[in-house]
Amino acid sequence: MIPSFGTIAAHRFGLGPRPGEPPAEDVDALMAQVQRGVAETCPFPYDGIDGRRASFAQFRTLFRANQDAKKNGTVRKVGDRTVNPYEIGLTAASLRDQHLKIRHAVESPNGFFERLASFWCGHFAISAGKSSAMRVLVGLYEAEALRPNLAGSFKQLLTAATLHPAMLIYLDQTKSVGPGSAYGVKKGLGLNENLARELIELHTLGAGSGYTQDDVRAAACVLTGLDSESWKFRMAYHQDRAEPGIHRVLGTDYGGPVRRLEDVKALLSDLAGKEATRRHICRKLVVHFIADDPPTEVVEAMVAAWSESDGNLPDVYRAMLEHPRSWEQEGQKARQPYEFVVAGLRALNVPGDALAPVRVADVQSMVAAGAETGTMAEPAQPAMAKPVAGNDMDMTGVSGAGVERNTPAAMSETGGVGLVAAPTADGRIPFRANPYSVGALSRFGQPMWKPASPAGWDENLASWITASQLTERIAWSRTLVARFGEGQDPRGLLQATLGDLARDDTIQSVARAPSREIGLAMVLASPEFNRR
Amino acid sequence: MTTDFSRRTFLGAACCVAAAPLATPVTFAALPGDNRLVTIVLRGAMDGLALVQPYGDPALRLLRPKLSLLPEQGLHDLDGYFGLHPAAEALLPLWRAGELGFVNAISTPYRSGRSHFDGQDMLESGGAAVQDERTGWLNRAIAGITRGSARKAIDVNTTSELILAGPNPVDVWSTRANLELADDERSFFTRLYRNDPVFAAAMAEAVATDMFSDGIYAGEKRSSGVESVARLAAGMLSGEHRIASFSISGWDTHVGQDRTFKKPVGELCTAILTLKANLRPDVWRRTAILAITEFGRTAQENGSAGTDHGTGGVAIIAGGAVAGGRIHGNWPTLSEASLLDGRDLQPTTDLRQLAAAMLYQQFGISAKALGSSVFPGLTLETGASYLRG
Repeated sequence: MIPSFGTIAAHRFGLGPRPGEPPAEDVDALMAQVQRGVAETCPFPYDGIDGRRASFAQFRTLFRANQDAKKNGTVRKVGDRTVNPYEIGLTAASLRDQHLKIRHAVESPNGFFERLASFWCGHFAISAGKSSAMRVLVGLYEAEALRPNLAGSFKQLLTAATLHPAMLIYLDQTKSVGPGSAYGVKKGLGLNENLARELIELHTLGAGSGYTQDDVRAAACVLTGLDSESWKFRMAYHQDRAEPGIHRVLGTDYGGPVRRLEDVKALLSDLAGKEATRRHICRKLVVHFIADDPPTEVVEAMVAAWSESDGNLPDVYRAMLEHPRSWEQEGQKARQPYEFVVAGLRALNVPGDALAPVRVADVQSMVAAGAETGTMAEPAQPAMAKPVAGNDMDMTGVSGAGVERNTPAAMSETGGVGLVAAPTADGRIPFRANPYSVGALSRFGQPMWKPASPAGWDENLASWITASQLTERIAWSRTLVARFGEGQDPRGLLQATLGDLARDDTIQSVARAPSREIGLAMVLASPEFNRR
Repeated sequence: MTTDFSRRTFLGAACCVAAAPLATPVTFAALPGDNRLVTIVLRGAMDGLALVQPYGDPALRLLRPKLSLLPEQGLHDLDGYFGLHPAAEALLPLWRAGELGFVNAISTPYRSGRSHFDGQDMLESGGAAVQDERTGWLNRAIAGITRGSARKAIDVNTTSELILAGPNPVDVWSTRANLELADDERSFFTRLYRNDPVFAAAMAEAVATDMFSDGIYAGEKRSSGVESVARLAAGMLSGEHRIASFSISGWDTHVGQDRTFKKPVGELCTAILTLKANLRPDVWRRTAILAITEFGRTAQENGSAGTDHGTGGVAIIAGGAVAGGRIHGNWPTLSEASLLDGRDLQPTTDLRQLAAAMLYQQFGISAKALGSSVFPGLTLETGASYLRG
């Protein structure tokens, strides 16, 4: 039997079915998901884009207070452990962002959009591991630079991603100074080629497409001047750091005696328009969605759509979805851990409230924080005294939902919107990763917003279906069904989740499982559920 | 090459396996292959000029005014010309014992692209050019090992890495994975996967390796740190595995290298010393550790007190089987005229030669197989002696 459009759409182009969510009936329905996704307000950062930007000043205060405490020898200690409220605040914010991203993906009816967001996060990869502050920038980057630009032109997306401060920091552009610029001469500073190289090799043309080291170096010269304003994390262009002169990249000249941001934009625009770029990106999309060994005819159809529409991404997505070859040969790809976790949570209809970070019991901390952090600089104190907005009055600390979102009305006494979480009474991070969602990703080797390299995550089936992966997937499936599988019948879950994708032998194996719990876990651990 | 084996070696290995009744038992055919090879992939481009500093080369201080060290600044002199970075101090006893050596100015044939992605592709695939080979050289080498005994290899990671990926069977295991299924439950999952070859193979490996690693950790806490990784590798090598591979990342020191270089160097020391501590002396004597990176870094420090992607670098060899206490390879010097493209250390040794020599001496893989399937196009040079005896 050939699986239905809706089933393949849910698994190959979405994040799996969720009870009560009608399956997509045609390509138009999937494309509508993209438009809806772009239009919605991104649920992370947890304090909103404005709130997050407002919190940077508080983080700066905490950072400086901690520096002062180190200098004065007044760092708070609990036993042998030093307490750094700055680092704890960053980690707490990062945890809240990560949990909201998974919760949103579980609840979203726009599965294709969510999958595209994952794809582009991997393509324009940055990592929270780059620096301390990066932890509060990665979610902001996805919300500001990527998601709103997934249904425009590739040039628009490329420009937004490249010029975002998180990217500038991640690929060391903030350290790159034109050696012949006024600032470079004065300070004796020079180029850092990292962003220039990845821009060409990973983000646009692709490795081995014929560029040279001279092109990379010239592109690095063009990019000089770009910076991120410290503690504001806004892109800045410093003319006095830009390498003066004309720089030739792939045969085109950029710059002049006076350098401008427009030179950078012109370079990005030209790179976005290259033939090698469209081939590289289209192929990568097909590798991600359809097969590790991508069918050429689909790639060609997408390249043609790109050329006709001048890189309008919805046209490119549509060309992929409308090609019959994109709907054949199910299960060529492995669900990566993020997709697997979200699909599992959707299959079991796990409620959003259960996907909050685990709150470390901190009844004492809110009372004690003000007194305990006596070394804090003055302005930060009120914010520290009211650490967790939204549901501060919930002193039991067990309600999950209240932990997640700050309501816009939640104002600190200093008038700021963003509120940095304080350490618990015993000096720990007030949240832990939820083992059903964010915690599972680390165990599966795909920690959120933390790919090992600028190349993003590996695509090969063989990389994700290994002995240890399978062991972790089985273990997680068992814990998940033990907690959320109550009242479910394994055969029913199999039918509802995989429908006509389930093979006869899997149906039989599940039906004969030694217990209901093992049967449910087998559905999630089955080859069909782990392939797409 | 060795064919002798002591009864004590066999019993030692057997006792480890005995703790894991379901693991493949050691067969007689398994006995002769006692040599071991561990590859450690240093991801991110390790700065060889920082690890083994040519402080006797006057150009070093001109190129690296901030980053270069002198013996009076903590650099550990090795031979009057080269010195070891202070962060690698823990390895000095091995150097003195002749169990640690370096191969200087080494590189894969990868030139001028300076991309991590392509550089690691070539390092692990062993091709003469980017994308020439789609599988890992260490995996292809398994087929060239004539004695069935030495064929088991393990990749200590959550996901398989290119260097050991390919058609020959390899166990992939992470330090944290633990199956925790009752026997009957396990058989149902095995049944669930029986018609999907990829899943069936992964499950079979999971069952076998789980039994085995349970024995290694014996109920102790597992973590993903490099010490646990090295311990797991040592445990596997004490059993029937003869090849192990894992990675250490964090070498991409574009910024503030005096600070960022220390952590990965510390991890490399921990990895090597943990392997030694967890291998019996007779096993350690037959073990060669090869730590390699995709390329070296620029001879000159950059504007942010770091270094950028370069070409020639350093390989680290360690273990009882290597010819240590010396620095191998021809030193091209850092003079302006010798630098590649005016910026990088000129490679004088093909990294594939070093890897091939290890495979040739440790496992008796023929020069023909090495030059055809493992490193296509390579003619094995037998001049250099990286291993003892």
